[in-house]
Amino acid sequence: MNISGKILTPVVVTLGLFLGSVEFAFVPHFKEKQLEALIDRERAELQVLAPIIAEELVAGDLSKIYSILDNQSRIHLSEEESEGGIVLLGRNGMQLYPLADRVQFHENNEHYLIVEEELVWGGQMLGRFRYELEIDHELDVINQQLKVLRLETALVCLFITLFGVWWNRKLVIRPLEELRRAAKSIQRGKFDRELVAKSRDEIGEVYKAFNKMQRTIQEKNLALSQAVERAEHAARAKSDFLANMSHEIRTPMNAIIGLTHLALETRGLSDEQQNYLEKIQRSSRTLLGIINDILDFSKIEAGHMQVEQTSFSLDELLHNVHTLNQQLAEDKGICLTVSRDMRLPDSYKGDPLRVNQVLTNLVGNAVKFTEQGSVRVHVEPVSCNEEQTLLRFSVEDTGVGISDEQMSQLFMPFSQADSSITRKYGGTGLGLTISAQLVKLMNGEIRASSVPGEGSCFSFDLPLEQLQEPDLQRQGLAEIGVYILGNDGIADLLASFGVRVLGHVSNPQQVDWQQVRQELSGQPLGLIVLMDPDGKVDLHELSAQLQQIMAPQPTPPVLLISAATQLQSLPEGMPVYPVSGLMTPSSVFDALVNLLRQTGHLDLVTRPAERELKTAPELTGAHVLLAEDNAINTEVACGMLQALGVQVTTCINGQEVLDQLQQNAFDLVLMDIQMPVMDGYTATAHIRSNPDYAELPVIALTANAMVTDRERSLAAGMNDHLSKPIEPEQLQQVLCRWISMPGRPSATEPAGATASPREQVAESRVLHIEDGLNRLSGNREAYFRLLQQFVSSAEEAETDLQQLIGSLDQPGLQAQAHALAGVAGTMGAYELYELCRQMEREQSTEPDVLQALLAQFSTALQRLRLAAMEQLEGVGEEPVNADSEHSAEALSQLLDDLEHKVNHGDVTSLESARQLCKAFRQHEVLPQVELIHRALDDFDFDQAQTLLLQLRERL
Amino acid sequence: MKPIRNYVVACCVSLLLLPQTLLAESFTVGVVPQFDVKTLHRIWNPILQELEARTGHQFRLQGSPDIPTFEREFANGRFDFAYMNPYHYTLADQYRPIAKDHGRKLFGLLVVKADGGVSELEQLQGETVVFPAPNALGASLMIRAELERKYGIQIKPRYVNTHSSVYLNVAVGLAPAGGGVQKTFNQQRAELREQLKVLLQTEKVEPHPFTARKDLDPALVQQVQEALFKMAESPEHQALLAKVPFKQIGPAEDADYDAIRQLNLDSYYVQPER
Repeated sequence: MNISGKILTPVVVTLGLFLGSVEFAFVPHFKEKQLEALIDRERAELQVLAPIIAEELVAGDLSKIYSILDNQSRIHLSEEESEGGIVLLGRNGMQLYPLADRVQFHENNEHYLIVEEELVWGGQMLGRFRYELEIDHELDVINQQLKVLRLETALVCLFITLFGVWWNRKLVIRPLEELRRAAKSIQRGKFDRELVAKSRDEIGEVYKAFNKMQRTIQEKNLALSQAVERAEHAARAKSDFLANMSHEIRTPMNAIIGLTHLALETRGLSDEQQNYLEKIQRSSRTLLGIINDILDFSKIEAGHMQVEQTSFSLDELLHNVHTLNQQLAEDKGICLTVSRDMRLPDSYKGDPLRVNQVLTNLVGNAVKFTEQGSVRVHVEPVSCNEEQTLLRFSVEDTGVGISDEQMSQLFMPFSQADSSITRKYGGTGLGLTISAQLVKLMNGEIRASSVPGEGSCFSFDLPLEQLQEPDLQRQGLAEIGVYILGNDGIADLLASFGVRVLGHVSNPQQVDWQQVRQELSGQPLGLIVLMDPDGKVDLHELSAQLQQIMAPQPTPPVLLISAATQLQSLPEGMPVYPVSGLMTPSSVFDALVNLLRQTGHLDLVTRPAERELKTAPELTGAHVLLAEDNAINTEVACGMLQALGVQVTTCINGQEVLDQLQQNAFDLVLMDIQMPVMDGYTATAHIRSNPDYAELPVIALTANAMVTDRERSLAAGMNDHLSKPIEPEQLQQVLCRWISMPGRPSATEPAGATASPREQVAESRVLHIEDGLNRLSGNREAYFRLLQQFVSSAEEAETDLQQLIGSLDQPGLQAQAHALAGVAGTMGAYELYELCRQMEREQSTEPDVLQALLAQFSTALQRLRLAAMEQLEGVGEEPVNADSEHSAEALSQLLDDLEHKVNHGDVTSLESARQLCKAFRQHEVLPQVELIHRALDDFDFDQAQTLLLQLRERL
Repeated sequence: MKPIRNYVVACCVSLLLLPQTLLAESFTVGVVPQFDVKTLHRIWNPILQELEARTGHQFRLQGSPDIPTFEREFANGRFDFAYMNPYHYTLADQYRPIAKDHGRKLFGLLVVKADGGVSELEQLQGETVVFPAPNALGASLMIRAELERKYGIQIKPRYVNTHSSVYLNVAVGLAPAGGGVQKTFNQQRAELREQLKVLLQTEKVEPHPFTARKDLDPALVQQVQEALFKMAESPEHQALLAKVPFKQIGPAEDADYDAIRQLNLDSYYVQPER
């Protein structure tokens, strides 16, 4: 009910009660009074008549009485009062008048009224009058009067009500309505309704207060909106600042990391320099990691972080995690194991980069807080339905652990478990927060459990869509008989590889060797697979048992899938091929194939296509156009690209890109976004508008790491996005993804497939270039330079070893062997690596034994040198060999090129200068050329220009 | 007082105009106030006007307030002409009858309530019986005389002024019986008559005479008598006469009323109070 109703209701109720009381109290009273008056009137009439009648009655003159009464009746009738009659009754009740039959009285009839009057004459009762009146007419009259009365009362009430309504409206309702309208208009955000106070009563005061309030709100609103504007501006500024900072920080970081990388590849570094540079590299990478953490955190906080949904290989993911963290763990002497449930499928849809980031972060933490023992990464299924599999990723360590108190603050930003920890272990403390947020973004949940002093376990469950497994082409394995010691998972996995599973013992610690012997009788056993992830099996006993049941045949090779710790002491006489650290179906398969190759069981096994990692060789000869206006960035990118064997042409803005595209054919364009003259987006738009370049991959190259940049670059028609500072791995990945080069080894073909299979296998033992290159991010130049260095240093080491054997210096020998083994392994010289390891492990001090090993070493080294020479001839020092062919004309051309580049401030001029140095190696002007090179190295293009002019004059 | 003054004036005038009386004389006519004055005038004025037209004389109805007054004035010879009941005629000798109704006789009726339980005269022995007036001829004198003399029934008379009152008293039961005459009985409303029945009819006598004072000029008297008789020949004027009632007007003689004289009603006559 509205206010008007509330005010009127009591009035209406009161009036209603009044009307009711009029109707039910006053009306009957009025009626009664009226009838009494009527009776009195009639009685008075009778009282006048009575003595006359009495007199005549005494005289007996009824005729006269009749005449009088007839007359009276007539009068009554004529008055239309009623047809009620006068009745005269005698003393004894006898009816004297009228003459008609005894009159029936209407007793107790509301339509009739009876008045009686006694006739007294001389104190004697002579009879009585009975005057019966029909009072319908009178009642009608009364009712008519009452009707008028009711109508009047109702009208008065109505008037009062209407007046009340009008008065209320005027005094209360209308001002209230106005107030309400004003309030509503404020609600709608209009503050221009000023109320005019017409009265000085409470409402007037409310009006004034309202106006004041409205002004106050208006002012407050203004202040608020200004504050909001300021806040938004600040947020925008912060956002811009972040983007700028991202750019500003990454650009120098780019320079630092890139140039350090390049510096490390330069020759002739002293150990000290090498050491410093490596430290710079590590520090800058750490710094970059911290910066990335902060930027990631900011992105998540701002809700800008987006999770991708792409198909990925679980094994590849785990491989990357292992590769990225292995060195870290190894440096600390911690065993890093990455394993997964072998029966899990490999392909999922999700965001591998983010999973990788989380895992890497957890592993990094685990390694950081673990002094000794192991860090184990494991993936297992929790549950699965038709569409999704819930995978649990766990990272377990044997580190210091986390107390319950610390646990509660674990995932809070900027809080490490202990502030003292920050001092001890460093770090931003954002890693876990970011990890938790990322997991949450991927609809997962992160958990941690720990026993302080014993270790911690971090795990997260992710629901991932499982994808169809591609059919693997695995030929040539069917002939291999395998006996399996290990759980059902590995057995199933090996069966899925297509090998012949001869037998299977689930628990390798409790093997019934007699049964094994029976199962193996008459079967050609190719190898034994031992799955012992925790390293519980006594390998020496196993070896003994095997020798026993296999005798007289030689012990078959054992593929050992185990934690790396076990590899410390391998039994003799049993060829063990370990798969440690990374225990995934892929790694098992790779190890299996490798093993079979080495043992000669398998000439060539085609590796499953999807396992193939694209490597630098296939990029060799690719022609990439790099558009970048920053000289340092250009140099860094050029260095990396050239390291990948890619031919680079540079330019400094979008317009030049378009010009270059018209002149030359390119396989790919790396495009900076922010460039003078024409920016990357515009240039890309031009490229895409030309159907000739429809297939040309364009990769955005920008310091802006925000998701929006990525989206914008994709929207502009670019194919992919690389954020600076450029990581060699990322660059390679992206290039491999987008460059498909006809006539070169395709992605599906193994590297070096042009070599004969036998050579390939043999070569891979002596010198596995591919592995070696991989370890150097595919930097061929660095690799071959290091290889050359290694070969010569190994030849020197050979002499050293000879001397050490002679002097029976066991520790010295082991140290030397260890050092050699490390480098040999890195280079991919596996034959030499194994010999070195053997030498390292050799406990015997017998000179003969050692001499025999040394002889093997020499042979292997010889083979390595040959292989290296072969390779080096291919890649080698072309400019050196072509030295004599440098005619004056060619030199002049080189100078022209350099001059052009220097004039344009092109950093590739550094490379040109280096070539020029080589070309003028035998020349008298070499010092001058080197001066130019040095100037360019300092990015002092003015100086270089001057020197170049001087050189030209001399020539 | 007024009649007296009128009379004195009339006398003076008559004395003054004595020689011309035959040509244009004024005479008074007295009528027994059987009915109220208005009724009497209504009945007699048209007749007297006609009489004036026929005779050339003037006739004026001389009213009397009640019967005793009339009797006294009649006895004193105050009227030139008079109409009265036969008993009154027998009481005075200044008048001689000149006309009477030949269509009917005069008699009294004793009425009782039709369903009142009175069926024999004996039942009225000692009862109060109502009559219009003591000296009403048919309705009172003749009935009382006959009841007492002929049937030996003693009653207590009560006089209730009018015939109507008599019938009403009987009808409402205030009196067991009452005296009336045929004419007045017939004049009552049917509903009243239906409640009554006639118990006794008295002897019949000659009806009311129209008389002239004996001292009047016989020629004039004869002129009036002939005029009256002539009037009866015209139906229009006969209707006027019938109201008196003279259903059949004709000559009358003193001897016609000897039968009344023989009834000897004097002992039942009540002298009006003075």
